[in-house]
Amino acid sequence: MDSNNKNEFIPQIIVLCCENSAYRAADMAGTLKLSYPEGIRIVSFSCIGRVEESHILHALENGADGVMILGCLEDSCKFVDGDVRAKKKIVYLKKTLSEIDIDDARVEFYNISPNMGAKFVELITEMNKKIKELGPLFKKDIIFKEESEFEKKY
Amino acid sequence: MPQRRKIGIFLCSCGNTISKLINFKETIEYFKNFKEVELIEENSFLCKPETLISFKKKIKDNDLTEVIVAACSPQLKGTIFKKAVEEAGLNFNLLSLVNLREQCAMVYKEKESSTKSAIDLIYSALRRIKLQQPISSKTVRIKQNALVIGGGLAGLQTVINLSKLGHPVVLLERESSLGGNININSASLIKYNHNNINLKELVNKKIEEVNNNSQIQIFTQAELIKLEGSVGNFKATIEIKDKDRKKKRKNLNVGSVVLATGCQSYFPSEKYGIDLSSLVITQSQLEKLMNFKKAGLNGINTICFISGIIGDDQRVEGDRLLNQALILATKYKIQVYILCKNVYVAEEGLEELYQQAQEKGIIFLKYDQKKPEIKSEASTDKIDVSLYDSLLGKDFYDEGKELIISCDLLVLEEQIIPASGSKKLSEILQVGCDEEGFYQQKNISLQPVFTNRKGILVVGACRGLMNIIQTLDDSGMASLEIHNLLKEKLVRYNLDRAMVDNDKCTLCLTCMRVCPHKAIQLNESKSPNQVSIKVNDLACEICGICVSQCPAAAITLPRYKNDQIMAEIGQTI
Repeated sequence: MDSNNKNEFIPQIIVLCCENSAYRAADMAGTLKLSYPEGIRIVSFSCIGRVEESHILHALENGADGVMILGCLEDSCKFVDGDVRAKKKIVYLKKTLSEIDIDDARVEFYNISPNMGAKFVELITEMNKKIKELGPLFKKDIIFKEESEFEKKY
Repeated sequence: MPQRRKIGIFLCSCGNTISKLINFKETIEYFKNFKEVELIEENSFLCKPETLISFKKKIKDNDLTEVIVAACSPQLKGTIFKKAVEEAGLNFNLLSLVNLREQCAMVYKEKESSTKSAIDLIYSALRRIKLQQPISSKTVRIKQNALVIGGGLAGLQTVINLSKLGHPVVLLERESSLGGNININSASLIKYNHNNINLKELVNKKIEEVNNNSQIQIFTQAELIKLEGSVGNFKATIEIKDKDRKKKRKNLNVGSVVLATGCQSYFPSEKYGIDLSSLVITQSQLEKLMNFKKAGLNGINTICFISGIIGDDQRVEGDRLLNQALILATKYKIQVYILCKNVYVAEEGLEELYQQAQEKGIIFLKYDQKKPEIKSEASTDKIDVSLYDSLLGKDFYDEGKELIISCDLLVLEEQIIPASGSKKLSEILQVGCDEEGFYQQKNISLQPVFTNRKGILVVGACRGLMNIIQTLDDSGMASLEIHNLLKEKLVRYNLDRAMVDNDKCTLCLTCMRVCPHKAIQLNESKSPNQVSIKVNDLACEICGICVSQCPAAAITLPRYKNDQIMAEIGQTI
């Protein structure tokens, strides 16, 4: 594998973060100079309860091989029950995904608090490993086609 | 014809911290050919005041329509850049901050991958910022007064603090006189030895202070029955009983509401399985006996307490128990036994009280799973309690021996629960409470005195077990928070709250049910066609839960619109 680096599969993972907890945990990971594998993009939300199923599906459609949803720890959501609502959506979505033959491990929900920088890295690395085993979600040429359409739109 | 888009991208090298890990040349090269990118350049220390001046100048000179700043985490310097962009004449929502330091440069091992990630991040910010619109602001007038419910220690202290801060206050008390629990319990008993505070003196002083203050309006025998509106403009309806027991209603307009309804002691008889009698009494009955001076406890030589059956959290109960035992031992020269599972001294001064109790000859006995039992018959005037003391060892009991304490009076520990009617009040105010009925739903460490509704605060024992010092601290904290909310007559806020599109809305009321802050209300009117959903802007805390739950997609959050999020998620490289 090492000799043929360019063909190595890099899992593209979108991380949807609550700006009050997981986003800060990601910052903490950077401040502590912990490193995680490449191919990660962090998108912040006002509360993880804002996340809709369509956002996750959109990410999977457009080239992401996995989506992580990170909310606050239980009972410490600033907006009372944002994390519970997000979790419910993910459980539902996982069911739908497995019905259309997409491995439900590609979408995962975790609870995290702002001071858990090391845990954040641990979760990302674990997810990266898992997706690497599963392989890419779609073949690359489909994505290129969509890319050009997307650029026309915006 | 719309104006041509001119986006400026400012990269911050952060004094070589970022630039040594990311290839800025390659990044600039990548974005240079984009037709909407007017300016892309590298700066060192963009957050410095001198650099900010040139940053502002560049925005003005190049007539930029949108700005992307790729620097450190927005949590660190976000506000500085927002301010600078506003000073340069752009709306704050036309600025996008890319977290290049914490979430890109510092986490990747190789320069190649971090450069790739940087391009990816800036590109997604670029896609998103094209869909961002300017957000205007609005000014509203608010009421600066507060309504305090409950005239106990917590309520009195809050009222005094608020009037000192210059807010007119209305104080509601459902009993005929102020003071709360001090009127029920004998005050001399709840003398907190370790704090050297005499509660009765303290409360009487506060009552006097409140009565002499002309800024404070007091309603006794009054209760809150209805509350409408939101922070800054609550419409409260109160019901006052006058001398002839006639009920009178009164409407008040207040800016904020403080709950200080306090607690009460409660005897959970189902947990003990012991019937009360003249020999078996509760803690409050003991307090009553002690109130009759010496006569109440005449002829009693030994008293036994049973504690620890209710639960483990005994911070305040333990305080009460040890104080009672100490007074009995020192003042009345009574031999006291305390049967407990564990002695919790997890509170300031409790350790000292426990030591004092041991010095005065109070005997602590430990039992485990098996509850202490009453052995003697009902007719005798002595009561025998048997217990299994695990510290004595198994051999002791194997020999057929029994540990029996014979006493004149058996006192059972009581539980402290929220005051009666607090459940009803929580329904009126739409404030959440925990299983026991205490008003504390938000994170107890982060937001101690807040409820789920903005402008409604909780103080003192109604939000959890609390001693005097903590109660006084609490009311100080709540008063400052209210001052923070209501200090100015005119409040300016950005219109980035949830917005309802009434054409799309089908009045399913999902958002009303879902909103954790109860900021969404039904705008009722006489004709049925004009009923609509309204978001109270000041009460909205911009979480977006209603947006994601709305089945008709009628609610939007200007800073987190669906198309913006989709664009940012976009496609991966």
